[in-house]
Amino acid sequence: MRAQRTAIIRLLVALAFFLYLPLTDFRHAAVAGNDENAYYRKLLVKREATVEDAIHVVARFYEYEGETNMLKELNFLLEKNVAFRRDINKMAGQPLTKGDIANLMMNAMGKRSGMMSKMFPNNQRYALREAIKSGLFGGDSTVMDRVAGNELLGLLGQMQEKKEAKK
Amino acid sequence: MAPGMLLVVALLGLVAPTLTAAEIMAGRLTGVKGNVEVQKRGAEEWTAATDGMEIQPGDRINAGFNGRAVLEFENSRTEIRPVTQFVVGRAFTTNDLHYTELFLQVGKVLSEVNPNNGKQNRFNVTSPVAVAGVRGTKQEVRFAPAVGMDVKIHEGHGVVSPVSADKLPPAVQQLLQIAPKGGNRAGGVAELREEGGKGGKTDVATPKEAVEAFNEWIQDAAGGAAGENAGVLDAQTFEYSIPVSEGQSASVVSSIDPSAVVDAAQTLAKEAVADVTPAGLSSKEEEATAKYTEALTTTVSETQKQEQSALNQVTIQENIQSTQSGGTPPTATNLPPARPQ
Repeated sequence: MRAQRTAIIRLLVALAFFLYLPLTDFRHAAVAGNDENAYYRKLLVKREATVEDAIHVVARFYEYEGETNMLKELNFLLEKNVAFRRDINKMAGQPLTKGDIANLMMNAMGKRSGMMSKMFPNNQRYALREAIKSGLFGGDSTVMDRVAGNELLGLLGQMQEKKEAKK
Repeated sequence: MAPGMLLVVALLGLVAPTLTAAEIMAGRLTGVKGNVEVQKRGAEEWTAATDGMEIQPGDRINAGFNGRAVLEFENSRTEIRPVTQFVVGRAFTTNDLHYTELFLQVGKVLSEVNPNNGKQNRFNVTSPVAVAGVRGTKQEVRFAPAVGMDVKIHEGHGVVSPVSADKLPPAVQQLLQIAPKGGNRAGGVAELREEGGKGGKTDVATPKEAVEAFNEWIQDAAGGAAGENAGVLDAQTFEYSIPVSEGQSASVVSSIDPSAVVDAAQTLAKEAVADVTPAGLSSKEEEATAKYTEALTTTVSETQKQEQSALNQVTIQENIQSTQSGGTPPTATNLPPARPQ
């Protein structure tokens, strides 16, 4: 009797799982495109960018030309001495926040000029302050604000512009 | 033929060219470098851009990370910078006007309009937060959704008008990919009604229909009455405009928060003011400090006027209530004080 009850419960749990699966929200999955421009087109209309999207974008800022693979891109960024969170690969599908992207971008652009920023190179709050000062974000931005796909694309354009101005 | 008929025919001959003078302008891409692609109006697929490629109104252009190109029209030249996406709007010419529109979704364009072509120039770059207009000059327009639209005028003069995205014609919203999906939602494509301008008259229900309406709109523009309804962006769409002169720049963060024209002297003056905000404040605290400072900067006379006005309002309200509830009508003694003229 007890075994039967256990079997029924397992069956119900399995059924619930399969019923739930089609309802799962996959919108946070990173966009995939056949080529670079297709990727940007999809990113433009994405409501919320993910941490994975940010890695793709920052890797491209460093002229990464390999396949779209987060681990390979992270290895590439490590070779370029770009600092990022150790557990970043576990955050791939999470919505991107302004704190995350500011931290990545400021490290990528070598713009950690403030004293506090130098003392705490992975601190998102100081990174965001520097990003605001650089004109990459509006003054009312907070670390936990989520970043839309078109915002991330706009940031990439601004980063590229600053890089060219440096040259 | 009678002399009278000849006169009529001659007069028609004079009038006819002005009725059919509007022509759609085709642009051309030159100096294509890196990843640049074009989606022709109505097409699904994207094709790689090439030098000399013809660009028609409604075509969408996407420049990748290292992509660059120049879009040339009869009277203008627009440099497309990396990571830029935009749609070419109406582009036509009449006997006395060159009209060109770009709908910028993200990125940066540098436009140069020839002021000496013998016609009036209207060159507009529209983003979801503002419209930048140039009339025969050189301007740089950047739109990044996180910080808004920046316009720099290198030569001549222009104008920037903050615009609320939901006031743009539905077809334009669709092109800028800012219209909510599903036409029946509040504020969506179907909800919008703009009385002026041909783009706003169409009562569209779906995004596809919105695009079709835009296509018709482009055709209408070339049909003869182009000069009359040239503005996507009629004056009624704008609540106000910011004139920008040579060497100046203007930023519009959102349709309700323009940070006005800033020139070098203004920037210096702004930076010279010491920041008295204590270090380590959160953004909310900084905001509160800014609000408090604003209140203090209001002149005393203005504050007094506001207080007096509020008092008058209260007195009038009290009198009305007392009369309605059977009280005594206002007399000379309990009448509110006269308002200052």
